[in-house]
This record gives sequence, C-alpha cells and structure tokens, in this order.
Amino acid sequence: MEKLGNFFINGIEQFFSYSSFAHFEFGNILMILIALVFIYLAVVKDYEPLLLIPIGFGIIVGNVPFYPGLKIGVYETGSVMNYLYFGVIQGVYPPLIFLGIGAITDFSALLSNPKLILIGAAAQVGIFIAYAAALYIGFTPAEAGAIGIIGGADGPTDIFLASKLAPDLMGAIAISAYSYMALVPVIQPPIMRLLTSKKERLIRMKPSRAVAKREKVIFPIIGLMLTTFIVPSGMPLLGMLFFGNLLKESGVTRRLALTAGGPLIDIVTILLGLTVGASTQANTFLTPKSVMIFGLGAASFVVATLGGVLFVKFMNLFLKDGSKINPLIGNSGVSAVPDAARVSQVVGQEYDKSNHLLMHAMGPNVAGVIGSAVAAGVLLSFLY
Amino acid sequence: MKNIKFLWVVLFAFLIQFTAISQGTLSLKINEVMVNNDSTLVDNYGNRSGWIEIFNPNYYSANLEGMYLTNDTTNKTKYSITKNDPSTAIPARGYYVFFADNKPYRGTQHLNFNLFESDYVALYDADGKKLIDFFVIPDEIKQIRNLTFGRVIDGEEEYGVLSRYTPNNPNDWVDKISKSQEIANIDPSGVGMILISMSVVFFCLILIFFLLKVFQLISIHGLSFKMFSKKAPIDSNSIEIKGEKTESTTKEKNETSGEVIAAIGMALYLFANQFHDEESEIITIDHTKRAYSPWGNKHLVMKKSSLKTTK
Repeated sequence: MEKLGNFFINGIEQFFSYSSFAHFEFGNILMILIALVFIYLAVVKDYEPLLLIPIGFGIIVGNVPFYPGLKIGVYETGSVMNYLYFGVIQGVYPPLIFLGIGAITDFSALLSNPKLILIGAAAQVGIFIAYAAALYIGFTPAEAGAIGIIGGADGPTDIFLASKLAPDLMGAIAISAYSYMALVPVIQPPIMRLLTSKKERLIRMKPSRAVAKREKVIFPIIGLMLTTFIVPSGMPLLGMLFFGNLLKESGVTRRLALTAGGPLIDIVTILLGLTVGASTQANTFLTPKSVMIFGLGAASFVVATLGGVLFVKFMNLFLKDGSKINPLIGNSGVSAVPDAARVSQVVGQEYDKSNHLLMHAMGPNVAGVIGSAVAAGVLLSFLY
Repeated sequence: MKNIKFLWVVLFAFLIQFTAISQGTLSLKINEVMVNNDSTLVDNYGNRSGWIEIFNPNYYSANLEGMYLTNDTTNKTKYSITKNDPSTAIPARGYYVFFADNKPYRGTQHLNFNLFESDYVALYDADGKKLIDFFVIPDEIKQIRNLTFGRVIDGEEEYGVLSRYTPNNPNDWVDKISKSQEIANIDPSGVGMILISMSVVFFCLILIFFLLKVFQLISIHGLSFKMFSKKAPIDSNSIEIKGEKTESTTKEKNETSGEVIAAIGMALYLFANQFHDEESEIITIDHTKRAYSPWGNKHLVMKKSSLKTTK
C-alpha cells in the first residue's frame, strides 16, 4: 500500500515537472499580456488584424513553458514550429509576401504622377538615422542595419534583413516593426499636423491622369532592371515584388496573380506571423536590447514620417501653384500599405471633407515599398 | 513539326545542363597542400600524413567522382577517385581533403602516393586527359614541418606559403574581418552610411522617376508602342460631328480626367450588369419583433411592408 502511495505521489510529481506550471516565469506572464494587448488591438481597434492576430497568438504559443528536449519549442531542432520557423530564419517568407504584395498593388498612382516617387525615397531617412542612433547606443553595424530598417515600416523587409544581419534580434525587430505599423494611425497624425500649416493641408492636387495598360506592363520589367542592376542584393524582394505586379498587369496570368495575391500571401502571412510570434520566448526576448530596439523603432518611424512631410514642403518650393503637393501625403512615404495612405486621407478630410487624398497618397506609399526594399539591399551589400 | 520543336528544346536544355555540370568540375581548384604533416590534421585512422585540399569555387555543388589525382607527370590517371562515394560531392564553396599516405585501401580520401615522392600534384578530369589544376610544391614545404603551400585566397591565382594551415577552411580567414566590423572601423558614427545609402535610394528612385516621365511624355504626345497596339492605325485627329469635320488634338484626347474615365467605367459596369441570368440578391422575409401596439396593426392602419432585402 505504501509502495502504491509512493508511486502515486512520484507520478504526480513527475507529471507536474512536465507541465508548464513547473517552468513558469514572470517573463512568460508578461509576454502573454503583451500578446493579449496585440489581440485586443486587432479585434477591438482593428489595427492590422491580419498580422497582429497571428503574432499575438504566436507569442502565447511561444511562451507556454515546457520541459526542454521534447521537440516542442520553436528553437528546438526537429520540432514542427522549428520547421515552420525555417522560412523566417532563412528569409523564405518575406520574398513570397512581396510576390503577393506585387500581385495586389496598383502602381497607377505612381505612374500618373511620377514626382511622388521621390517622397518614397525621402521617407527612408528614418532607416538610416535609426542606424546611426543604434550605432551610437552600442549596437554593431550589422545589428544597427537590421534595427534601422524598422523605419521603412515594412514587416517582410525587416524580417528578411534581420534574418541575414542579426538573427538573434529577429523576434524583437519583427515585433517592434509590426507594433509600430499597427500604430501608424496613432503615431503619424500628430507629426503631420505639427509640420503643416492649415493652408498647406487644404492644397488640392490635380486629378491623376489615366494610365495605359502598356505603361503598367512595362513598369515592373524596367523598374526591376533599374533597381536591381544598382542594388542586386535587393533582388529577392524587388524581384518578387515586380514579378507579382507583372502577373497582375499582364492580364494573361490572372489565375497566378489571384493565387499570389490571395491564398499564397495568406498562407505565408499565417506562417510568418505565428512563427515570429512564437520566437519571442521570454528568456530570449525580454532583454535590455529589446527595449532599446523598441525605442529606436519608434524614433525611426517618427523620423521617417518627418522626412516624408518635410520633403513634400521642400518640393513645393519649386512647384507652380496649380501643381503643388499636399504635404499630408508625405507620411505615406513609409511603406505601410495602405495604412499610411489611409492616414493621409483621414487627416486631410478633417480639414476639407471634399479633398480626397487617398489615391494621391498611394503613390508615395508604393514608392515607399520600393524604397525600403532598395534600402534593405544597400544595407545588405554593405554589412552582410 | 511540334515534336521537332520539342526535341530541340529538350536537346537545348540537356546541353545547358551538361555544360553546367562540366563547368562545375572544370573550375575545381587544388587549394592547399601540406607535405610534412607532423602535428596537424589527423585522418580517420588516427594517423598523420601529407594532405591535399580541393576547393569548389562554384555556388553549386561539384562532384569529384571519376576524376584523377596524380603526382606523376607521366601517369595522369594514377589515383582514380571512386564513383560510388556520395562524400565526393563538394558543396558550394566547400572543400574536400585527400590524405597522401599511400594507403588507398583505407578509403576514398586516401591516395596511392605520398607527396615526398615528387614536387608535383595535379587534378585531371574524368576523361584522364584534361588537366584541371596543378601545383608545383616548393622544396621548403617538404623540409619544414607543418608548413602549407596554397592559394592566398581560396580559388584565386596568387600562391604562397600560408601563415597557418587551414584544411576544410578558408585560406585567408585569419586576416579577414567581417564587413560589419570593417564598416565600424571606417565609419563609426554612421554618417557616411547615411549619405551613401540615401544617395543610392534616391538615385534608384530618380531613375524610376525619369522612366515614368518618359511614359508620361509618350502618353501625352500620343506615341504608341507598336508591340502592344494590335489595332489598325486610324486617324484619331479627325472626328465627324453632325456632318462637320472637327479637328481634335491628341493632347485634348489624353486630357480626359481620371474621374471622367471612372464615371464611364462605372456606367458601363452598371449597364453590363443589368443582363444576367441569376440574381445575386436573395429576398427574404423577416418577422419583426416588437411589442404589440394598435398603431402597428395591419388591420387598423396602412403601413409599409416589413419586407427586408438582404444580400
């Protein structure tokens, strides 16, 4: 009877040692709370739900403590999560997402008003200022490059670059980037209002011209060559982006374009979001470096917005009265598509209900996608 | 005819594949050689002997199977590398080390000669005729223990006595620092990086800007890309209105605003959608739930029907 009792007690103890309660730490609770905030923002506030729901849930998955060696965790070789995480650490998922983005992006706004592309270049200043700031704080140049790219507001690009330059910081960089992308409607409007006068906010832009199909077909081909011949390291992202766009615009590969811009991008988004979330295990994520990355990410977002808006004001100095640009579309130079453009529209509408800036803002917005991919290529060629 | 075309395609693909494979093995390099191994690399039998490192400079794997190694200028096929050993596939930018211990019965890695016998070592292709690479080993390498001779940088043409032996590793790894570290030394504040990177980003996007400007000019001035225009050329400048011929410039034609085109598109869409066999709408009847009131009683008053249409 005593033996049976001991067996029972030992069994219970052993079972407990295998359960999550035996390995629970304060960090896990904190991370789960962060995950709940993400899910709350997605469900209640509708901030980037397609990303925040998988990431938020992934954070919970990654922070369920377990007995090591059972091939469960994302960092344990042979586990299912580890296999899925392969696509993140080897930079497989981001180009696939770019393929999908290309297949759903309409470059018409850019084609009809080419000067808007320069705003997309100016807004990339956030990336490089954050790079310098990260160097100053004490990060290595490779780490600083991976952190700086947060300012491009482009999640897949961030993950792609982090996987090459600073794989150990990937979780913090990805979470930081997606958090700020979700908070674009909160971060950008005050900066836009601060930097513009009421007169500037009321500027009406000329309606876009109609863009011929041939222009749309030629653009991805020549655009790819122009950018990747200069920055070949941007090929995985730019190549897929322009390829996806050609599938869409050629008009003869509708099925491929629909797949790339629909089921494929959805599948990859699920895998990417879930595994990036799961990679934020408290013991690897909750470090002073992560806090610094969050700070630098916020700064880079602010500087990027600032750069875009100020550059429009600078351009307006040289433009005639009828063709001036509303500086409220300057924030769209970051590549958070289409959230940043939507912010331009919403802020513009606050001052003039009949002034619709959305389509104009889409120009710098898609230019920002190209710009951030080029910037990533530049950083990669210097630092990898 | 179709079959002939298909055969040509297959033949072409085969040639490309064959050429790629050949180029893979032909670019293999003898990368590093040690003759007098006193305290360095140990083979899988715990013995030390001279060794030869082969480097694959390609960014795809190359297989050594069937090729020959020799230290004899009169016998090009002295040691035949076995064809059924998967380990002879060298990965991209990878290495393979042979032990020159004159004990070939110990496995693929063990040659049937040693490096003291001659000052020459060569790698021949599988046909036994084509010389792929060779080394003339300096005397001092034989005399001094643990000294290696090889390419200063993997696969490159500069040879010399290496500062340290590096079997299965890059020959220049000792003196190499990471790009990141190099940048940290040159540009510690990051200002240079900001200037260069922003210039490159602007340059790329300005190029695209000019490309788009060209598109715009072509569009405005009505130049056409023949490869995309299938229609027969028509005189677009003359339009007949009520029997009176009016001149309309191409510029005017292209100044049609986006809103006008959108409105026309919407009108056409609505018009086209009037003709369909199946209705996309579903009409249903929902019972309204409300407290009884004589004001709502159908028998007493006339009111709107509670029909509700939902998609």
